[in-house]
Amino acid sequence: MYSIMYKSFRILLALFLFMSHVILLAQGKHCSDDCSCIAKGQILDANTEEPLPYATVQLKGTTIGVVADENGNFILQQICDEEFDIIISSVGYKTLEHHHDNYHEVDIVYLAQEELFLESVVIQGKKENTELNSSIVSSLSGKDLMSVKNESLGEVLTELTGVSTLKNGQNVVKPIIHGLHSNRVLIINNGVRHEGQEWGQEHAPEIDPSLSERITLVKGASSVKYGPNALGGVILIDPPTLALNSHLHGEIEMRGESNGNAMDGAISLQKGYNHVAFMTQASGRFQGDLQAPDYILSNTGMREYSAAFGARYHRKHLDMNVYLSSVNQELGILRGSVVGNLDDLADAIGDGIPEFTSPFTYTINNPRQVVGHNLMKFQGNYNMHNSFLQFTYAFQQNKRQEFDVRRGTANDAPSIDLKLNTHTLDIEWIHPKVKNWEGSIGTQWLFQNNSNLPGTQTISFIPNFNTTRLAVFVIEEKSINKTTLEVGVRYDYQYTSALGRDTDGSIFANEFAYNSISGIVGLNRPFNDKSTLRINASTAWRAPNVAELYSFGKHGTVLQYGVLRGDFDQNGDFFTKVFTNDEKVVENELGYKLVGIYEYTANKLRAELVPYINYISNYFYKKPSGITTSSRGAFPFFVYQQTNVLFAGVDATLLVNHNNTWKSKLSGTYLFAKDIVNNDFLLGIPANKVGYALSFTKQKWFFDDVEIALMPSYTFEQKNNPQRIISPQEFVDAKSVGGNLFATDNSNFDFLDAPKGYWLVDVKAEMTLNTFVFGLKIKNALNTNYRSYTNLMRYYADEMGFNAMLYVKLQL
Amino acid sequence: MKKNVKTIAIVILLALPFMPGCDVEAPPIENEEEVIDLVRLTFTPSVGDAIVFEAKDMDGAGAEDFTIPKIVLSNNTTYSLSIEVENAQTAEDITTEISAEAEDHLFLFEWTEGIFLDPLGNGNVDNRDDTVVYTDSDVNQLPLGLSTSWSTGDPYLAAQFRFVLKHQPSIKSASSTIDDGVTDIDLSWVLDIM
Repeated sequence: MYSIMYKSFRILLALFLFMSHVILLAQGKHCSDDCSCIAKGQILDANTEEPLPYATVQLKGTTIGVVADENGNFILQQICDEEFDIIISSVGYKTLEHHHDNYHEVDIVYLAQEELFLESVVIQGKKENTELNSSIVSSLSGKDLMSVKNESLGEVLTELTGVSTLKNGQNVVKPIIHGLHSNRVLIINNGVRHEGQEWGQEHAPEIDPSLSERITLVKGASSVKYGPNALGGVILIDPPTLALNSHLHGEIEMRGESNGNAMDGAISLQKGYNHVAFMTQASGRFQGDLQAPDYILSNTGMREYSAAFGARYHRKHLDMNVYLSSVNQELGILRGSVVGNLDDLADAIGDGIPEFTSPFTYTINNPRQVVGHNLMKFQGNYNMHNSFLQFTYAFQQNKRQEFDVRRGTANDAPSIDLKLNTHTLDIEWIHPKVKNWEGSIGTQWLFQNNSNLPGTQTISFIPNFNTTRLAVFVIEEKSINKTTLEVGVRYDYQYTSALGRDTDGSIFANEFAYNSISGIVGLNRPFNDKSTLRINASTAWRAPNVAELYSFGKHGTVLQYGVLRGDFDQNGDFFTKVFTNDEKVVENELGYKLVGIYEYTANKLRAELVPYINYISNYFYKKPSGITTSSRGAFPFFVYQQTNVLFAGVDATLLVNHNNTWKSKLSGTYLFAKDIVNNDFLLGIPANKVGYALSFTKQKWFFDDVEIALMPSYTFEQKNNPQRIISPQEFVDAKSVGGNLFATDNSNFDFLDAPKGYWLVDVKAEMTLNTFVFGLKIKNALNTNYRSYTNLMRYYADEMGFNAMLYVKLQL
Repeated sequence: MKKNVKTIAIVILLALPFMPGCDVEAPPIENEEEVIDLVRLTFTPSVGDAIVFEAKDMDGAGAEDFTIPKIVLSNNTTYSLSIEVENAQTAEDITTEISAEAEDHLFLFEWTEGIFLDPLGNGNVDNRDDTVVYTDSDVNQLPLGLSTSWSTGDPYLAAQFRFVLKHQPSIKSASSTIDDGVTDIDLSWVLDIM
């Protein structure tokens, strides 16, 4: 422990000296000294997102003002202060007051028409903006986010091309970005790294998208800015921004769904004064058993309650925020997915209707998960004239209980009961321009404590641990003509001390130190006014997770062993033993990702092509290693190993505005993934998909706005799946004659071939009238029977059938 | 003001590595009720001493096979069989759990056809209606199978004897079969009748 402190101290000292040096270098003039402060931006219609010409922009309390040009662009000049209020108005639109500071260079102003559902808002650009300039991002906000907010985070993200889902039934949904998920995707919720039990593929992020206003996907491996785990990409979830000087406003939403007889509701309220602003949100969901086209999916009910509160205090040069949120979920898991051995699995695969299927109920029994996530965040921004200091402290508590079907009183006890507390402190200094380089220097600290709570009546699946991590980073950007170059580097040091229990109850202990350097180089180059190219080469890393190190024993219908729980002897036979990390060194996983985006915009058309290639060394996977018998019969067993893999693919989107009322969107994803050491396909790589959406928007009938959309999509059969299919019966037969199916061939296998490709059709109609929005959305409109390759339930049951959702929203 | 901010920043930065220093504690010790690593069969003849056979998993949930000894019985003898199930590593008796929830559990048996005089046939794994002599039952008067009765026939070497414990919460019935519910135990033994 002493050495880590010493090391951290040295790193911090070095960083601090560097910062002081830059401060000295950059002691320049302030714009307030010679009245050269400016505010510029563009004004758009909030509904159409088209430029709004000739709006008035006025400096509050003065007669200084300008009129925006025909493209909505404006620039207010010769202002003698760095911070000021501006008033933006246009006839027929809701007037907006905005507090401007010189750390948000460009304001994108969305003005909403009077009597319309939408609210006028400002999206501040640059500086404080979370993503990098050369990042390949796509985001979801406004109306698009509004119509999917009630769904799980994973499901919401599929609106963005390149994201698919890893499911354990409909209630447990994880996002997959470019083929990677769980510990290989990083979620930044409200500016804070979301820390949960991500190691489990059946552990979904405990985040309620109802509380968000904007969701952004960074497709690069952006470890430099966000820290470890960002191998596939980063998901940024932002709550509503707290506007000063805003009237009391908010939203109420009610929703009903035919599938699962679900009810869903959300409310948010916000008010801003001169120096303070407040926001509060609450949402809930009550869902019964879902339904596949031919049968009830028994025990797939769900509950969700979440609430958030935010406050902002603003004084000249100082901005402080506090945010509290709590998300609580109870998630039912299909009863028929519980199997004891391979005979049961063979039986489940052969069954037309899953076992234990019973009439519809709202009751949730075992198996189920009860999860909760509480977040408390304090953030402060201090404006130091020509630089900007930002600090964020957050405390997160993640609770996870998993209830299995068990005997006797144990049935009421969770078999997994974990509490993960995480403290994070991020300090970032956006330094003054030095020789045309703009950028920031930052440090991130994390302390995490994981504990198994007593009462599970089973030996804990993962150990207790403490993790401390310290990181420093620098990101710099320079523009030459119109080309922007971006470079960044980061150093992480992580120390973990773990204590676990072996099967006989004896204690084992282990201590690990990991460190890694990450880097990023990005280029943003507009060719002409129609096309832009951005390229981003980046690295990411992560330390092995607890499951990869310490898994031991039965997990579903397989047995799995972590790297530190066993090894192979000279005959190639597996034996179990608890290794210390002196005896067995486990390397970091390292990712190298090259991703580009080519955007082409013509008057009626917008095309976007995102090719990427991602090489990951020391990639953890579960290697089939033999068959063993337990009291339940024969089981295949897997041992965590590391290999090198390659992911390559492309996301493509084409938007065409046929005319003012008809719009088309065509999107597709292609992904190829392979273990290049063993020349083998990996399990669970999402299938390729194409989607089309035809939408019609018009002011029609007595509505202010009507939007109707038809959205067919086709998901292909996954052909890049492990080519070896071994049915459960083959294992049982092989074991009874003493055979080992992996003796000569231990390539990856699956119990069942990948499901066939399928068409799905969704339909949406949304009507706006005054401050109301009425919507009807139908998912799986043709009630198609299908199974998805990346749903762990595909061995047991079909996916959800027809679901009509009816909703109404009221803008307050 | 600027100086203050700098001071605060320095203090925070320097304090960082020393903040929470609480040590990690070992996970609580639990009575393991999930893993069955010992199954004991006690054959008690009507006259004479009981014979005990134990199937064990030496490494619990590890990758070692379950070791199952050969069962050796005398010919033309009636035995009562009682089955006990344990987690040996934590000395947890799972038999009592099963009998406490008898209405959710069912043992099914399968053997080489004709080796027993009573019951006849090859057991109720393939066909629930086939005869097995259960000597216990649940609250619904349905058989359980922790206690059964067997009358051996003529000598027979290397016969097969298998039983399967199914967990059938709220679906156990007079007609529920091997395909219903979840398997808790599935063990195959070699049986010699001397």
